[in-house]
Amino acid sequence: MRLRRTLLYVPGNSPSMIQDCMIYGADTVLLDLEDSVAIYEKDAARYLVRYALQSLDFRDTELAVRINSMDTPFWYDDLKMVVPAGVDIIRLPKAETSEDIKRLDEAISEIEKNNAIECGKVRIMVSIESAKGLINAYDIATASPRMVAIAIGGEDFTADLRVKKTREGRELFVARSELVIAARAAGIDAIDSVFSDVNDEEGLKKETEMAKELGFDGKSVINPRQIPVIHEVFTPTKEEIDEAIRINNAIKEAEAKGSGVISLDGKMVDRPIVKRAERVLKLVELLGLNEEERIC
Amino acid sequence: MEIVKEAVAGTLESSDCLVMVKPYEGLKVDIESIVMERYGRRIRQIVEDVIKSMDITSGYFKIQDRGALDYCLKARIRIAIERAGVDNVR
Repeated sequence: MRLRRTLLYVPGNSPSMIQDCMIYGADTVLLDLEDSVAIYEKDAARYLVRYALQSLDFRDTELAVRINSMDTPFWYDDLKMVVPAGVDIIRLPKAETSEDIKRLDEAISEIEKNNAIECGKVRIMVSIESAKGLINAYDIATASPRMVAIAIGGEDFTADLRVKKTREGRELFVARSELVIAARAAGIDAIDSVFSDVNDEEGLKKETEMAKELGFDGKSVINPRQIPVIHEVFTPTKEEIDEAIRINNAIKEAEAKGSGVISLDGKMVDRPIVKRAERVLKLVELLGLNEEERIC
Repeated sequence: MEIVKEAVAGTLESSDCLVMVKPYEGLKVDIESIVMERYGRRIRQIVEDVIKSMDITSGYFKIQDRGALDYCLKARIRIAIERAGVDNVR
């Protein structure tokens, strides 16, 4: 399990943004070769991102590169440039079928082999941006062992549905839920779409809370100012941690007694509750939170 | 290899550089930088390294630097050369 609460988009042809992107604390940075790069600057962005990956210190931030979609002539050249340069994740936009992922997997494997990179080291994350992609979400999510996350691209998806993307997001409710279900069934992360009004902090918080309630693991970010708001929502509350510790203690007590039944406050603790508590404690560990301090 | 046509890469934004290359008899490099005094020699070294690595034997190179880091200078010079019609990816 790895934290992916925030995925910060960074335009791939902007040196100032690339070299500062690691200071904002995003869990993953997404160096973008797609929408933020003009068509006549694709070649320049590829080199800039390649050399940045090879020479800048991104600390322990997970590094993803969003390549161009597979219906363009750019995606394979993007891969050839960034896979040997030390990228952690290739983010494929506009994924529509499992065949897309299989082709991408094969291309990455070939580049890894030609560059003496351990096979399977580079992982894949995709975004679903069409109704067809959503229908195929589970097949896409399970099409390669490299898959680590599946995201929804809200603007493109709503355009494909022929509806407007609204602040309330009712039009995306079903798609978000289906995406999370597909991700869970495949055992990978689900990442929510960007919240595009960078001045609306309250709206961002509400949408992030809704995404968390639906089961998302994180959210894409277009402005570093959005990162603390999202991190706060995805950080377990004092009450959640307290509860998880009490459940964990109850498990230990039951084990010490050799009992298969776990009880807390006179009630039996079911397996799903144990699973939820384990996840909270794992998050506490990944976030480096001191459990004792949090509950005192 | 020779630079056979004029090409540019990069921008004049902060942390970037604008690289212009054009045909020339022999090699000539002009550098203009906001940090010339401190990093002028380093920038010249990078330009010469990229030119050498791409086996360029003639051409004029003008670098207008706005505080670009090494990786950015390398990327902009390289792509300017490629855009000028030299294709020698290593």
